[in-house]
Amino acid sequence: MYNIYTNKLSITGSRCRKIWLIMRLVILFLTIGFINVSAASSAQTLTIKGRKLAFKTIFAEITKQTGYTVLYGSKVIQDKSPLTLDLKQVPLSEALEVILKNQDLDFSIEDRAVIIEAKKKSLFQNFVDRLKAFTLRGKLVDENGTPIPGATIRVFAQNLLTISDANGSFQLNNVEENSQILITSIGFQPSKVSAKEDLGEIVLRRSDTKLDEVQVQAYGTVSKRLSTGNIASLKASEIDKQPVNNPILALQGRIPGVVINQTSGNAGSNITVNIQGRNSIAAGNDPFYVIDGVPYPSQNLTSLVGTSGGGSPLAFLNPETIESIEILKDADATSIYGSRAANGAILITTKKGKSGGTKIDLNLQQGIGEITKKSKLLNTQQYMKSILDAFANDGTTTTSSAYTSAYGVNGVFDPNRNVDWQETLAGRAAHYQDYQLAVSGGNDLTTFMVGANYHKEGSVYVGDLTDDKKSFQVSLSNHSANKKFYLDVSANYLNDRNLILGTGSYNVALQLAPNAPELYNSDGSLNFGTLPNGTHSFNNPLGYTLQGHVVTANNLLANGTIGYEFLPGLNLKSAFGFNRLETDEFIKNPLAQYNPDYYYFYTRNNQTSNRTIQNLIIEPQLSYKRKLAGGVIDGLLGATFQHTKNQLLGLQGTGFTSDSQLDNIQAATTISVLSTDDSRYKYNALFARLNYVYAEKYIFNATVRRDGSSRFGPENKFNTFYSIAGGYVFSEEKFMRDWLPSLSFGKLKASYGTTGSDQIANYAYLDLYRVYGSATVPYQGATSLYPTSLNNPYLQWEETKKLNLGLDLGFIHDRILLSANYYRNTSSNELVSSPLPGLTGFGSIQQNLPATVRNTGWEFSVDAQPVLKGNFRWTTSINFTVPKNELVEFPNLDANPIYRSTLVVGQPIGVIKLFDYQGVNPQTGLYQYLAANGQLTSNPNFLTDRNSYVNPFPKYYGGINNSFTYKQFQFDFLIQYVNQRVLDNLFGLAPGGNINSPSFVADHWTQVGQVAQAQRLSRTGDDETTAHDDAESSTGAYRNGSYARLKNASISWSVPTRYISHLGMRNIRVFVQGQNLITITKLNRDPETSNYSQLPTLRVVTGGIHIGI
Amino acid sequence: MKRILLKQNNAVTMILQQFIRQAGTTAVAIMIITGMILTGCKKSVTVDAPGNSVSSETVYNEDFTAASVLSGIYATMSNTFNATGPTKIGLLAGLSADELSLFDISNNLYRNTYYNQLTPLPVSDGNRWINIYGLIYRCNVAISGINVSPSLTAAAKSQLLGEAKFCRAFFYFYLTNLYGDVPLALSTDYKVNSTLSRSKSADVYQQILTDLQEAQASMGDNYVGNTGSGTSTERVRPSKGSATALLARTYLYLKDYANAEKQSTMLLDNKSLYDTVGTSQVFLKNSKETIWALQPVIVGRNTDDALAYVLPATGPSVTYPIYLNPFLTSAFEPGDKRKTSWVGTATAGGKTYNYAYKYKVNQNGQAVTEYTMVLRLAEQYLIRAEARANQGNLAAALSDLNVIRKRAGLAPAVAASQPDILTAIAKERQVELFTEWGHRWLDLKRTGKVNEVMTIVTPTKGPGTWKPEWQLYAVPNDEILLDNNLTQNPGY
Repeated sequence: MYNIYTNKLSITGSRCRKIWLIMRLVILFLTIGFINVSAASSAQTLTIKGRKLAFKTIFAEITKQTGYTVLYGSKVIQDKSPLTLDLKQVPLSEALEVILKNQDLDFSIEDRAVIIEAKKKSLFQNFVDRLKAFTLRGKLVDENGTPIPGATIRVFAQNLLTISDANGSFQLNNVEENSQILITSIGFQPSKVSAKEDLGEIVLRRSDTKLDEVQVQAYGTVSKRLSTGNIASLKASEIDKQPVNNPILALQGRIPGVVINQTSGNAGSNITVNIQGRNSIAAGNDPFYVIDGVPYPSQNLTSLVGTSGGGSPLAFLNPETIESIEILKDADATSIYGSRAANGAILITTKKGKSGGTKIDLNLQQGIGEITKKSKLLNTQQYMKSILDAFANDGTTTTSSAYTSAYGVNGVFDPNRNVDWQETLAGRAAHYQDYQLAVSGGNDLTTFMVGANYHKEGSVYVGDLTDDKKSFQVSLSNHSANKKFYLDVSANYLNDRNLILGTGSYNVALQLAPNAPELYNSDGSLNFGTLPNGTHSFNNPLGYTLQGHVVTANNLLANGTIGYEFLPGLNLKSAFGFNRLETDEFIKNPLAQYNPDYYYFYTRNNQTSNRTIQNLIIEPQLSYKRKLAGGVIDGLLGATFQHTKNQLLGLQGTGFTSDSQLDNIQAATTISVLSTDDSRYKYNALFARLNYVYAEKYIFNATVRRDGSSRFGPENKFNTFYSIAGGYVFSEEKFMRDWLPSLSFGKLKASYGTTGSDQIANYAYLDLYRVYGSATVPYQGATSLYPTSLNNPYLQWEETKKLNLGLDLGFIHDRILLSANYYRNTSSNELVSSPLPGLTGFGSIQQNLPATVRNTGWEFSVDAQPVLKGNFRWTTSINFTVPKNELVEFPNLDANPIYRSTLVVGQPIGVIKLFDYQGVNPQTGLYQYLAANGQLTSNPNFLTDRNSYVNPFPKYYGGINNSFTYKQFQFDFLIQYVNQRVLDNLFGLAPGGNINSPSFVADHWTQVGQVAQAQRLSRTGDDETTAHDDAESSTGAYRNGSYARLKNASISWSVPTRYISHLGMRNIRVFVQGQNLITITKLNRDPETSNYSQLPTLRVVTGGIHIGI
Repeated sequence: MKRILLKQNNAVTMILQQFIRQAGTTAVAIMIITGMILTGCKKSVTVDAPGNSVSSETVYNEDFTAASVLSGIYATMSNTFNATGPTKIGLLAGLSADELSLFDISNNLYRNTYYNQLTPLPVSDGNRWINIYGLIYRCNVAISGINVSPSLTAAAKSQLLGEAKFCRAFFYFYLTNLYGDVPLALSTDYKVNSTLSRSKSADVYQQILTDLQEAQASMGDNYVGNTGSGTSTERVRPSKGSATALLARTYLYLKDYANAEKQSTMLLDNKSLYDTVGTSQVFLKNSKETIWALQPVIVGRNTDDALAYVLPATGPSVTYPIYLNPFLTSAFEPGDKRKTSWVGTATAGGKTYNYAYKYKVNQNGQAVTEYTMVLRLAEQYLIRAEARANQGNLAAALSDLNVIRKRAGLAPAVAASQPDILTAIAKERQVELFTEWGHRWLDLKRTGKVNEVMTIVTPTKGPGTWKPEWQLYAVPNDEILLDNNLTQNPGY
């Protein structure tokens, strides 16, 4: 089926599949809906039996049994006498009718709350009340007594509205007695109270529905309920359950529209993150990272590491210090970041202290990691047969030189030895340790947190390889007594010493002869298989263990905010941020790592490099929030001044007289400069946002940003980006409540706007001369210079226009939340390297081309609490994404030698063009392909015959997370699913040579007429080589790489408080958690890493204890 | 409703009044105004050139940096073994001709060149075309930058302008000899250059002569230091002698024998600067035979030629696929010192392979004793011999030829007739100049022998027979796609 995969088939096929997919999805949602409806109604019954029960007790019992808050003024039940009740499994509303019978009280049930109030008065009474209108005062606090500023207080009947000030206080004039007042604030449950002159302190309860969770957005916060943007978040509670080295990996499988992959399983290795697909053909596709308001680099910082794809700077953050990660996707959420957020933005917020007593939290964790999936390879017998068959085909006899150097078969290597090199070289258990201590606390004016962490991870590779991280963080926040002035400062420091990134390549484990000799001699030195004539049979793959490759990183993140509220609602604040990230690398290359036969080719050297990225940002902001014409208006005006400095110095020492001197660069006779960087990036902007919410029903949001960047030419340094968005909470309409009472929340939202990308190198517009060559001997003793490129002063931003349409639904008091988003992002003005004839001196010039890339897609997510009964809670969240990427336009693509072989208009960017694989020709024994002319050939034309396309992106992907809580137990698991086609590890590298091949090759063609999987083997044949090389870029090499993975599971048990409270402890929790536990895939390799020659992702299982004092 | 609005108006007025009174107003105003000014001002988002590079505005202001631009050309030329290196002219032209053999055919570029089966794909070109034009661009920017520079010293300005023109001539010499008619890019403007069409080979030669004459006039006899002035014992920057040597060769190729003789005589008469040395000393750095050589630039390495040609004791392999073609080795006369001094042997599988051993140090980490020779005096003797023979001055021609033969330990040539002398000179060039900058390939073509010789040689190398069109290399296809005015050579 997949072998005859053609373009035409795939279009009709994909359309059918899409319809089928949507149908399945609808069924899935409906099923969940039904499960929940039944669960919900069964949960809403009441059993109360007792004599002389006080109303307070009854209401408390209702809350306990149903989870519904009962709201009532204490005045209302003051004079009520106790009741005797005998209710058994009575539905809530019936029970309430019984309880409140003859009590002159009314009730209503709204938003998981029962509201009890005095019976409505007569018209006359109302008239009297109106005359009795008064000024209402109150103060809002949270459960800890901390004031809640910025909350909206509204009297619907009279269309009155106000906002609480910095002290949480508010005041409303001309309020009629007993009017219903609704209080809403981000992060808290909406609260309704009856009006009276002095409401005193009203305690708002933290919301446990996702609708009211605080979501961090650019320059502020928002709740999902009132947001018009497409923002997803992951909270500390979910990050902490995942033993990941890089906090971004905690997002895998959990966020719709986001694809995250590790380039290799090595700790600290680089990651790729695509939010709503790839927008840019040639410029970067990294999202914009912001940590506590400070932009953070996304690209790897190492300069000497090659094999592991460099390191990710995000790995220099301690996941346990993170409070939340927000992913900003659409224009509404990202346009305010202007030129930097075309690929979305990821906001990381670190943990801060909370008011209350001083708390000490200690978290100890240990575990192991191992590779998830190995490739199946030939065993010794099959390996030897493959070489001998190749020899037979080539007419090579045992007297030829090729045979004498084939140690795997000529008797030099033990023919009975069979080593699983993947196991031997990379099969170790990587030890994982993590210790975390945090002290936090404070009062309502000042809070603090101090934390320290030690994290150590081993490697699956042979050698004493570890990644050690030590981090320390402190944060302090203070309000003045009048709450007008506030100050927030925090600092995070992390030191990482990584010995893992310079490990050997996994490729060696895939290709080493299965009967290759022992790795070590009896004296512990590396074995190179010394032959009687003094030469050597074997390049020992453990050479890297002598390299002593160290990557040290020091990361300091410091930021602060000073603010002052000049008037109620008017805040002036300024945020300052500083980040200095230093990475030092050291590698030594002793001769002892090489096969002694090649000593003449190598020189001893050592290399050191020191890279610094220093980033300073200042962002003054003025915000104003007030009521306006029945709604709340919230405005923001700000500016950004950012200055980034990159420095790099790489040195190489050569001319050492012995391997033992290599640790000391001073022992070198020659020290030369490998690489340097000294670049600056300046960025300024002015931005504004206007948000207006009318009656919690209509939401309007607009942003604008004027950006200037030093990366662009003098002609185009500035550009303006904007977005406009609206939301309509239709569930606030009475007709909706009447028509569909189970719908507790419904919002339609739409946004449109522009963002840009300036992810190109600094100075691309300048005409520069650089010093020629890295680590070269100066010509005539002096530097030599060369012009670096043709400069283009007209360079400007790549622009992405983003459209997002969304629907958010909440059912059964928000116990089921559904969210669907459609996005359509069109990137144009693509920054590409535009080819020029070589006559111009350079093959290309960096230009903006009118090429257009479009990403469209559907994102779905469901958050539900199917069971909330007594001690048992089950919550589930499901996300699902169907993305599509298309190159819409690319003028003169055919004449573009850089892109014509990699791009096709109408296909995704990065489309993989492949030969149409037709198996092995039984007559010739060669792989054959369907050429453009309809003929079968074993020597297809690279330019004209690659007419089958494979989408480099997943066709759809998603995840299902379930969380169960029973008494002290909690169990969570996440299943990730990705549907994709990827390059599998099948054909190997020219089988028949002295290297091992995948097990696929065992079934190779040997005689005319044979139907075989793999073609005839040969070491010298041109035809075999051509046909084999083409196989790797044919449909035969790309297979269904879909996988389902138990990405994360965790189980924990908390010691009941009664056993530990007398010891002065808050809680003790023991847990076991795991990452990448089970993977189901057809592939002969790990499906996540970009390339099969990279170390597969690791399965990590840890256990630990959390102690809270 | 009206009441509420009225109240709100009042509130707004109140707020405004309060607002103005607030001390913070000033701060806010300052913030907004500075923000607007700063973000609206280009200067605030303009950065200076990075510390590790120089901008085109300043690079030609000082002798040292201006000279560094030309050093960059020599360093790039010297760094040829890497795939990114500019030319590999000697190796590839040697494979095309009857000079080198290929043991392993897995390298497409080597295989196609060796089989004389070039295709217009870039892989058949080894990026030679774009690399040479890249170097020409660097000459062009240097010429225009140095010409307008107000602050270079007169001596350096003259010398560096000469170096740049000499280099441009040198590159066009190879372009036109390898590709025939080629576009003549003399500007730095990519808009002009990207639409050039081919210039007649004669016009290209005219430009080469002009550049060389100007270079000869503006450079001195002495070798200069790294600032473009002073004197140096290192013969690694072109000098007046380099321009003269290439001028002699160019006149020879153009069959202007009188001028060829005149130019080579200028060098051969300058015994204080140039002389022949023993065969074992020719390729040592700064030998007296050196007219221009390239200093190695890779740390720990001598010449790239030694790395490419010298075979390990185990014989040729995938890593070392090049050895000397029997057509060349059989051309040596018995007793030729060059055979013993400049040719090495390795035995594998019972077969003996000869390899070019002019440069001997192929191990890393050795002291640098050899430089890559570009122009040397022996060629000038052979140029003058050929020029004199063609002008009928047979005795003088033989005397020049015999200087070279004598050095090789061979008896004086016995040829008497003009054709015989010319044949003897051609053979002497073959065994004297092998693996040096494609002399054999270019000689076969300019003397019209190429079809005759290659018809015999090509079938011995692999599949296929010689086609006359193959004496010109193919222009890479992409170049033709990108420049509508550019045409392909016939036969591709």
